[in-house]
Amino acid sequence: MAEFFDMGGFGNYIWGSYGFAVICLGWLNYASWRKAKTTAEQLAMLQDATPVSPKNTE
Amino acid sequence: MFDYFANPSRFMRIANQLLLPLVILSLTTGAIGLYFGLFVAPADYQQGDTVRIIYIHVPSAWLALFGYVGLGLCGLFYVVWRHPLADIAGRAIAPVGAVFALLTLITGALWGKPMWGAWWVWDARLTSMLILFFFYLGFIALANGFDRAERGSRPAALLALVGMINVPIVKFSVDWWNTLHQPASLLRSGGPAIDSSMLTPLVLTLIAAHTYFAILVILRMRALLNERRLAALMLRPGGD
Repeated sequence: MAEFFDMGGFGNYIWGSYGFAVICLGWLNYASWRKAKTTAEQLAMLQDATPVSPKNTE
Repeated sequence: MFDYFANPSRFMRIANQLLLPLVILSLTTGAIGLYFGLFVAPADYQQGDTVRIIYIHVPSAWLALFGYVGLGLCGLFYVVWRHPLADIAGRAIAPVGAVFALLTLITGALWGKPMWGAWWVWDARLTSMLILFFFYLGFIALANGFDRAERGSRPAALLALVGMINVPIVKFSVDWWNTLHQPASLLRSGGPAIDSSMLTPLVLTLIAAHTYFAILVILRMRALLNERRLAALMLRPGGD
């Protein structure tokens, strides 16, 4: 197992690459989901609070 | 057909239906690809285990480049037809493409240091990729640099179009100039120059990265369309 993580002495470079990728892509994923969710919730709240008229029904 | 899909509500309905299959495809190809890439594929005879960085570096580079082609097309559609969906798509693509470009540069540096002895060289491929990253940042700054978001759309779209000049430069830099960066191994005349034991995980991680990119763009488009609708509701008489 230690040999696997050592990656022929290049472990720092290889795991550094994958670690950075996981952080970047994970953060981007989290931020994108969260923004889609919060904006949808805000929209639903506002639509509930707004009186319905023929104009604002899609 | 263009008009049919250009309707934001219809487009998002189709995109939302695609989301779950894309998530499943991305997770399975990513998991299998990384398993084969990290555990099964052999080390390179010259580069040793550092070649395993290829399974993150190459998919990132492809997406940084394809993402920019998408951004350029959005810029074209927005400048010529002024279609709001092109603006939304461009704004959704830019941050995702920028992260993939940054990932390409960082993983490239982490591969370059043990193999070339340098984190960075002003090589044509590396420099043109850095410029691509700056075009993404420029687009984001222009698109969001105005009080009203829509005012930034046209200058950002024009910048995206100008940046398209850089795309073939990135792709063909390794052929046009004598670069330290190696030439293309996949998209080259004569077919891929990689052994199937390394090609299989690479193709799988490429599929995973493309689907991951599509998922992120759909989510960001959804959020941006919600924001536009929120702004429209706020502005309407009777709204808050």
